[in-house]
Amino acid sequence: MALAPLELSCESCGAKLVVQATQRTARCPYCDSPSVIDRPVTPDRPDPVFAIGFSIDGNRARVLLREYLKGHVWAPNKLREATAERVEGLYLPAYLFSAIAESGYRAQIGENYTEMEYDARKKRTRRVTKTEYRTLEGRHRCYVDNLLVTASEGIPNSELEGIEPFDLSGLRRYAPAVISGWTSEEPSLSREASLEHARTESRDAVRLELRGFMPGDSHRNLQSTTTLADEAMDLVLLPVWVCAVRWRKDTAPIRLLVNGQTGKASGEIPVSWAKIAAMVGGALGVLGLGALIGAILGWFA
Amino acid sequence: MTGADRNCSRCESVIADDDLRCPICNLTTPVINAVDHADPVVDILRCSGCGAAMTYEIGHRAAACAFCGSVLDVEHPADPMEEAEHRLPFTVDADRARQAFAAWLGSLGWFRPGDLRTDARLETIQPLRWVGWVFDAQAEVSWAADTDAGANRADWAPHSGQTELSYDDVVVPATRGLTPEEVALLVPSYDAAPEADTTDLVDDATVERFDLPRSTARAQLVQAVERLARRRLRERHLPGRRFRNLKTATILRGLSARRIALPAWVLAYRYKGKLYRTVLSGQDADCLKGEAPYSVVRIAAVVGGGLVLIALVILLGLLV
Repeated sequence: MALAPLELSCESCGAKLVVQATQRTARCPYCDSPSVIDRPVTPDRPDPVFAIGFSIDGNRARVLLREYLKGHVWAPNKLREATAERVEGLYLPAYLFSAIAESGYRAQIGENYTEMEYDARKKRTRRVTKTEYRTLEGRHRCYVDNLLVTASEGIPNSELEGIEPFDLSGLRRYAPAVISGWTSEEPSLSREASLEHARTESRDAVRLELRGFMPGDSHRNLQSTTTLADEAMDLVLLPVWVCAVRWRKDTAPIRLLVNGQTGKASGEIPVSWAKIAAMVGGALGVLGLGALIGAILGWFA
Repeated sequence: MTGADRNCSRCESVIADDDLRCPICNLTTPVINAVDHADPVVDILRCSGCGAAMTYEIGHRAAACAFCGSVLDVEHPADPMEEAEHRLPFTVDADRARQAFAAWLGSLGWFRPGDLRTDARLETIQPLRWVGWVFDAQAEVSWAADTDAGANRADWAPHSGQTELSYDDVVVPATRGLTPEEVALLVPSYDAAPEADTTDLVDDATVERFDLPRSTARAQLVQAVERLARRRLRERHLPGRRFRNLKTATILRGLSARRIALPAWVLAYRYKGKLYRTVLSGQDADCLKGEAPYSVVRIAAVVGGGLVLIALVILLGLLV
């Protein structure tokens, strides 16, 4: 969806305003007026229906990020002590998905029973638990809701999942007032791509639910097919602090996210192989020392 | 809820005017006045007081003007504490309640103190309107369970099914003033859809408040519906006599609930310095639940007498 930047004029001072196709907001370089751009609706770029406002500010996000990094014992120390170079608040476009999931399932349900069995070696009977498998087929219908999937090419779904959950009771009807003065993106993934994500996530969620739905003492060979009906998908803007952390001069900064509503931080943190090697080496050393002392004291003689 | 009820287009449940999403299936409620346009529009949010640009401020959780400080609120889900919308009338007045109470005291039986009827002194008799919901709904329940029907070597065999349940005018209590046992007794005594011309015999009753925000209240109601569904499954739909591992998934449709206030009389009486409580339905004087003391002397006499009798029988047996 590579679209040309828009050329508009600032409503405040009339200066030319160049807005990238992925941006929903802009600041006038001359008079600093915060604009919200309302583009014509297309299937891939619907109007936002909901937004969650920021409740964590940038300083708090930095503090939470530091705590998050500190908590990673296996990360390189330089990274654990690093501070973010840049922390930017962004309203991330995502889709809120809900549907009715109808599944057919089939499984072998294990029902336990006990039997007395003669043990020829010990010459006595003992009680043993055995399992009898019975086939169960059935149908299952439930609502799938409150599912969020990214609508941005920049932040993949796995990164969004890292800072979920959002408290959806804080959902507001979208209004420019929630994003005015902040950076806000337009969806950059096609609706179809996001819908596929949402469907996959829904089916995974139902599969998990079905596992808990099985009766019996155990079950095996659970097979199911799920169809989704009455699907609904609405665009929602989520508050996210995007943080760039540089911890080595020769590498690009790594990106971490902080949930702008709950403060949950997340990101892919590299592990320090040096630390792991030291740990393994240390453990081996202790073992070796023990063996040596043992040999001297004649424990193994 | 004001004006005409709106219904969710997916599950047909009633949604309030200020709901952003359906409380049952979370479908977005339709937006009124959505306007589309052919060209991009640039908007600057202006303060209505001083005309400066407003931006979203974290401290206010709303757009605010940096110059004059005015705040522009955004529509967000309302979660009010609500009051009862309907009152069921009292058809039992104070005199009738007193009579029923006296009759009850006299009917408690021999194990109660002999002077309970004469010595119990009624301290207070108070009309109370306790709160709950009356709801209608359809529930489509998918279930799976182990039951003893069709069992082979094991005691259990797995079963599954889907059942349509429907509810009309079912009362779910939301009261904190009454105990669950009292509520369980009172609920069947009410006529949730009384004749329009029924006169209310009491007008100064204390009306209990829902001390829950709407979202919590709704969650409780949905839980109650699911409990009812499980009970009905157990009673009518599961094969066999015994079951275990009952699992259910529910699609709730067409839920509409009214918050109602239900009439009851709360009586407190004193006997030998101690207070006891009795609750009586405001629509059926025979529906009454109360605490009452037992006579230790009489119970001891019966137990003692029984022991003596057993001892005698044993003695006789030994002698013969």
